[in-house]
Amino acid sequence: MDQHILLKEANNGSAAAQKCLFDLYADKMMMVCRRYLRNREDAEEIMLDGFCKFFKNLSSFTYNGDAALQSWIKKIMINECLMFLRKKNVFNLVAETAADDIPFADDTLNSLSATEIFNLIVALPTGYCTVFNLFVIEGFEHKEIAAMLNITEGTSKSQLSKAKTLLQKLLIKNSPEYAIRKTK
Amino acid sequence: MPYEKQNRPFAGLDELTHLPGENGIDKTLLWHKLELRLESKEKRSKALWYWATAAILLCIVSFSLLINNDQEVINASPSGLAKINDPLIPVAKDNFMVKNTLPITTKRKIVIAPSLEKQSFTTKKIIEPAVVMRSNKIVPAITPLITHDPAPVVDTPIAMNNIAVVKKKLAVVHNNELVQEDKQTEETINKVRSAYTKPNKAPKDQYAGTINLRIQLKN
Repeated sequence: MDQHILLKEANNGSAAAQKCLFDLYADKMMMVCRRYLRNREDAEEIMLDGFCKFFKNLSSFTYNGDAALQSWIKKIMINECLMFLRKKNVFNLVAETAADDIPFADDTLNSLSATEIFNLIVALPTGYCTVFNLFVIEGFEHKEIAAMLNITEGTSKSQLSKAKTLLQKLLIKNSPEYAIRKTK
Repeated sequence: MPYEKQNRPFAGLDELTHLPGENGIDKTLLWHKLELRLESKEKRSKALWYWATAAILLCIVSFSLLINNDQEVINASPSGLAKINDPLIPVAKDNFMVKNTLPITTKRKIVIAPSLEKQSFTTKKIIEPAVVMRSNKIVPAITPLITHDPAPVVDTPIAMNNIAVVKKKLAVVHNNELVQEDKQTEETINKVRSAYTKPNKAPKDQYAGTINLRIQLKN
């Protein structure tokens, strides 16, 4: 069924349409939540909260294609995850001097599968992982990230550079090809 | 969300549904949980609305009552003040006595008790301002000499009631005095007895004058 019609029906309170939308996006959103929270139970809870908000605020959404709908749901999920992390007071990030921008080897990442990248990101500490997710994967700027996490821009940059160095270390550890290329 | 800006190597992450070697999520179970949450949220929101409306209604009612009360006070105040300020009894600067002809009482119609009716009246009578005593006798209008009292009329019935209720104080008498009194009473009783035993001439003497008068009138 067309997602536009599903949205309309769900907005009118149809439980069947809501279930269809949930079935469509539940898996993907679960993976988004797990990228931020790692713990599966927490991710499930946050995903349900996110869907609750999504169905509640359906009336305020204007349909501009399936991609826009997916990104809107994703944004809700990310906000829920950040709220959860803020509540847990995970972001005890100390302001640090901005680190140099470390070049990141896109070629090696291109060769990696989505699952491998996912596992690498999840292996990072919470602070690094969040900033990396927001900057590299979601495409937010440091200003926006600083406002979202209630930290300074410098801290966001330093967290990102540290995340990158750690990720490189992890890549060397996990994929010997990358290590060989680096030593050359 | 700047989804257009997303890095190319990480684009595949959005399409990731589950990790290999891991079971996917139980959608039906999660949907049931979500349904329950949605229902509870609806109920909560409904309850909140009910409470909010109830609180607003209460505020409106109390506010309107307050306003009405204030208006009543404002409306009543000029006449009320006039009543209090204007003394009904003329104010006397010197200390002269003001005679009160009738006791001031509240105008209540009193129906006489049946026992009293038999004694004094043949038909039922309604007597306006009068005081009925315990002995079932109508007390005549009390005309006490009252020094000028500028107190408002409203307070006077209470004062009158107090006067009617107050009991007579008995004089304190010593025991020896009582013995003397007993002796005196005995003497008086003896005197009366002796007077009754003696031939009574006094009545004739009493009416002598009247007979003479009648004779004079006839002439």
